[in-house]
Amino acid sequence: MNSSYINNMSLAFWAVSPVFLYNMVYSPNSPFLLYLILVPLVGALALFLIPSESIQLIKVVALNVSLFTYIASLFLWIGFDASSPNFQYLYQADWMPYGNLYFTLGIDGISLFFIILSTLLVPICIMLGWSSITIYIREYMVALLILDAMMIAVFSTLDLLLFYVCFEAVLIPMFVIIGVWGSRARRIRAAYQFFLYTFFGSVLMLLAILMMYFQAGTTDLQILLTTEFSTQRQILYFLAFFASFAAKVPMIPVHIWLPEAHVEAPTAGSVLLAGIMLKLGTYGFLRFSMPLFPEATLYFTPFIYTLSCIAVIYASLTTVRQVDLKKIIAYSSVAHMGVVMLGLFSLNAQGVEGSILLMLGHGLVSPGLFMCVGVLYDRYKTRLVKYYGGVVHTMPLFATIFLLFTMGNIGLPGTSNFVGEFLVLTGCYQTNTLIAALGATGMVLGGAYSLWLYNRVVYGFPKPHYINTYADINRREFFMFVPLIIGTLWMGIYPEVFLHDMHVSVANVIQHGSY
Amino acid sequence: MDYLSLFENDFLVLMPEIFLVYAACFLLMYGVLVSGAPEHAYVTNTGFLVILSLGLALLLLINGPVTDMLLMYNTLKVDYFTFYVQAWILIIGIGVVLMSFDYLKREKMHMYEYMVLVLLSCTSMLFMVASYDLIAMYLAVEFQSLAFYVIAASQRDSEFSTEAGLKYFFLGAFSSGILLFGSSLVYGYTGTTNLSDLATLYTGFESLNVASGGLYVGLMFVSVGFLFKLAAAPFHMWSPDVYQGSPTTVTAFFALTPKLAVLALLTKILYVGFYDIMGPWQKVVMVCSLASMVVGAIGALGQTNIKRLLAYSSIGHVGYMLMGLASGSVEGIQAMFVYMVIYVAMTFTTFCIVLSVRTADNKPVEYIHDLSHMSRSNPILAMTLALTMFSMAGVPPLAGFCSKFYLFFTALSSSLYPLAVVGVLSSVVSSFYYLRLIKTLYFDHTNTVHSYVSLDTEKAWLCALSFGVTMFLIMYPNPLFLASHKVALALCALIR
Amino acid sequence: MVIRSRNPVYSVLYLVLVFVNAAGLLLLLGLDFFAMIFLVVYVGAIAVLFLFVVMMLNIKVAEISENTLRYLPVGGLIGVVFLLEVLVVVDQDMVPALSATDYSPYVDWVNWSSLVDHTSNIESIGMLMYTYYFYYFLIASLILLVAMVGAIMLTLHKHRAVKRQDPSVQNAREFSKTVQKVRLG
Repeated sequence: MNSSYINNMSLAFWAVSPVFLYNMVYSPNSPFLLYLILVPLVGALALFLIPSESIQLIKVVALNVSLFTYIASLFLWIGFDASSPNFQYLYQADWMPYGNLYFTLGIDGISLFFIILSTLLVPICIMLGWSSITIYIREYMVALLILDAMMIAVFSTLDLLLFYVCFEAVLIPMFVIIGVWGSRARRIRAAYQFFLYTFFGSVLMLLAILMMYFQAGTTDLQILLTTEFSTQRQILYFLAFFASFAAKVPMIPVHIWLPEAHVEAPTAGSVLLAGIMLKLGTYGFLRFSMPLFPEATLYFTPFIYTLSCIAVIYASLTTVRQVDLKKIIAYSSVAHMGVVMLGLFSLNAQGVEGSILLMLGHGLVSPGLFMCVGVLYDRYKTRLVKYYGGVVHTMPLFATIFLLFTMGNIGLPGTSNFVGEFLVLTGCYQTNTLIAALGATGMVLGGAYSLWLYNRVVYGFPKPHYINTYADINRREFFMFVPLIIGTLWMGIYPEVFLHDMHVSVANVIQHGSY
Repeated sequence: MDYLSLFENDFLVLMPEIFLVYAACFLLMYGVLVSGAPEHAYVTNTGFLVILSLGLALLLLINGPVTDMLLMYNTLKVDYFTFYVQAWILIIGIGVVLMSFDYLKREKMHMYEYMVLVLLSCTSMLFMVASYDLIAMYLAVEFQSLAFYVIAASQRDSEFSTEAGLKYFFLGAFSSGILLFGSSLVYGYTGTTNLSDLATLYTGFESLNVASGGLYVGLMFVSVGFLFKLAAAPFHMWSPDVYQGSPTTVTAFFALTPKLAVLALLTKILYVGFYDIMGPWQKVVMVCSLASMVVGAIGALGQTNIKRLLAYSSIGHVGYMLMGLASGSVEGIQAMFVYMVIYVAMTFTTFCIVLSVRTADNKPVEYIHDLSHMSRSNPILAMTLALTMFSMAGVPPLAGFCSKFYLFFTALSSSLYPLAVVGVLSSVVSSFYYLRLIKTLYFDHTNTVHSYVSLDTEKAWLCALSFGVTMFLIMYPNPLFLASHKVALALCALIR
Repeated sequence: MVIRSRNPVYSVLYLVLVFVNAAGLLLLLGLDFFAMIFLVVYVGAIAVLFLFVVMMLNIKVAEISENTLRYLPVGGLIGVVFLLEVLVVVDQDMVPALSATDYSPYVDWVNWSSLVDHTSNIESIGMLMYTYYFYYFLIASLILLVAMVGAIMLTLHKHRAVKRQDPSVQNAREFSKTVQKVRLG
């Protein structure tokens, strides 16, 4: 099959799709979310039917499918009603009606953006693997598409058990991505750590879910929200959920897997890990722990504040000492997620909205940084800081983009992270001044390590002993960066677009717990 | 002396079993008569005839005129419970025979008796499941074990196989002895061997506060005898050796059918005969369940031999199934049967793949590292195996999760918190060695070279079917759950 | 003595003694038929088979005498525990007469039916075995079938080197053709 034929097919496909999508969104009662989950799955199945010789076709089909999913998820946004406090696009199907378990989907203003973020990152990851992945190409694409579907499902499900299923299902493709396409022999250890940390935490959550199921007779979130659990039980459940989500966030004692996994994963793996996976934990706190166990949430708030403050300061200080580019970004992720947790548990509208915004911003900025590292690594096959220097002389375009994301990481006004961190600190200040002050030091330290990193890598003199070939980023790479840059700036300059849609939902969560 | 009218309809109900016995006799004669034919052809031939007879027996079973009946002077009982288990036994029998063709050919085991023995042991298990009386139970168990000892040793020129057969024989005889001793104690203290009589006798037994140590000891012995047969820890010592030594198809057979049949029978005895003295046996089952889960998880960590690994994994799985048994509720039984069916599917897939891959010098794979590089040479097979391993570890959304979550749920709802917690933790530990297998498949780049293997048609179908169950069960698990529920209800209808 | 004696042949003979004792016990219980069966089957068949096997194996006496005491602690412990368990059980229930010597709650009854219509042990076993419980009989026969198949399968070698019988040829032989008078000289 020649490439022009492939291109024509793709064009035809794209020409038809908007009409189709529009109809789907605006025809009432269409299970749009279900379609959204099914599209990547069907795409993944389709990839198996393509003979393995036609690698180009596999790549193109995967890219088109993931882009289509992205566009479709944007339609989700278009059809979203920001003024409604209810879950939207509700869909319910029989799963095990005998056990009163249903396949329930629905989104609100919180989950909407996470879905869009994950569908955005997947095509970028596919492009990342366009030339750097050389073995098991089909499997790579399939893993990414399945991951795509599972992430949409995990953010849109309204059933606890289903949430658990998707939450764990994400592990399989991610484990494979780290293990198979990772860079060094240590990747196996990293993959194990990633899998076991998460699995260990979440089986405890499974027990809690089953206890709740036993008590309430259902795992439907909307019904469980009307159930009141006794305080002891709440504390027990909260701890079980905490075990699962904290490993995912990652909170400080169980964060060891993250730098390992980031360093060993291929760039796409790091992008997805930093962009989406970490948000699963915080999303879980926001969606399940906080509304379901309000008393336990209040009970544990000081505990979480403590852990988060340690995370912010300790992880930032650790970052300064790192020599591996990816590790630096990984530890800075730990710090940022600490700030996110502070915002969530400030339990007021500013804090929570800020932390959502920070999650989204971090979901754009840190993938951007990982991709920058990936660009360097693809060229020079090393990630150690000391080999780099004076990159600005040889790769000016790259240096600009890198600067932009570094600024984003610091939280400079005008970028998404600024808005998020500002709101988080505002919210935090209302509940606990000391915590807000401690959290704010994280920003200072963030400035320190980010700028220092940028300084070491980009400025100074080139080190011709180590770096003796030069190539700026190519067109494919540039277009991978574009959506992230746009998103970062947009969120920084006019965040109201995003905030507008989440006001009602956040207020819902907070009022539900009557915090 | 009009006792003949007692058995008027019994033969009608026993049609599948009778048919199978006849078929076995016929096939034995057939084997003797045509044994002059070219070497492997007649083994295959007998095999297909065995499949045919098992299939016909399945048809007879499904179209049986009677669904619920006590027969043979109250020694057998047929109901939906037995129907379900028997149907599965027949299906597994067919599957195992399908798996063996290629293997027997490659290993040059030209023995038609192997096929006939599979047929006979299936028959014995049909009897076993239906038995409703301690004597009938013991006889059927003996029948089954004897057939198993022989097929374990069937690879005569391998020392391992002989050792396996011998070990299985000794420990099997030992456990049968325990079983018999227990039954005789029960008989001695109650004067009856019939399960429903026992149930009547025990009504409200625990509240009567009668000293009945002998009865408890008898019950204990019966349960221990069965747990021996199930290879539940701490009575599991024989199983890794036997699994390793037996020919691989036989290992598959051992991993599948006896678990199903023995567990079904144990469930029946404990639930029907001894439900009113649940306290003592629940403790035994609980302890064994705990021990098996832990032993299965930890014992497998150090294994390098695939079959030993699978043996430990099956010990662990038995532990999970016993969890359902220990819960003592309808849901527990249901969860156990759901688990069993899913376990059967996963085991089929695993063994099909282990059977079909061969090392460079055309030997069957023996060690885990023999599988490395398989993702290059047989990508689809490797992926199937990897996903099956994930499923065995209980990672959603694969079928293994489906069964586990329901088991944990029933354990929690019966307040067996230690079981649930240990079960969950040991599933994390066991995921470690399943992951190691996946690691070997995908991440290791050793110099082991495989040739591309194309599965023979029989195994390919089997593998595809069972993998389909593993993969897609989560989409619509309803029928399985409902059928198992019906089974559990049929069993509990026997409890007065 | 079965396990302690040095010479395996002696131990088999002791085993025979055990069987005979057991048969005696059965006789005391009034089970004459079972006692005979016990003797015939165990002493007559199994013990003699053991004897043959032991003689064929040609085990050195010295080999065995090495480490019999080594397993004593563990084995003895298990044995004692087992024995105690059984004793406790037996003490509790099986001997009610001991604890209730002054007044026996059991009514002494006369088995009238046995006086009227006396059947011997064998007769009653046969009556039950072939009527109500013929199922057990059938299953036992199937067990024997499997045992037979197994024995054949595990021992019958189809090699050229192994001499085989051909029953049809053997049966077809005629005396007049095979045995011939050879005239010498």
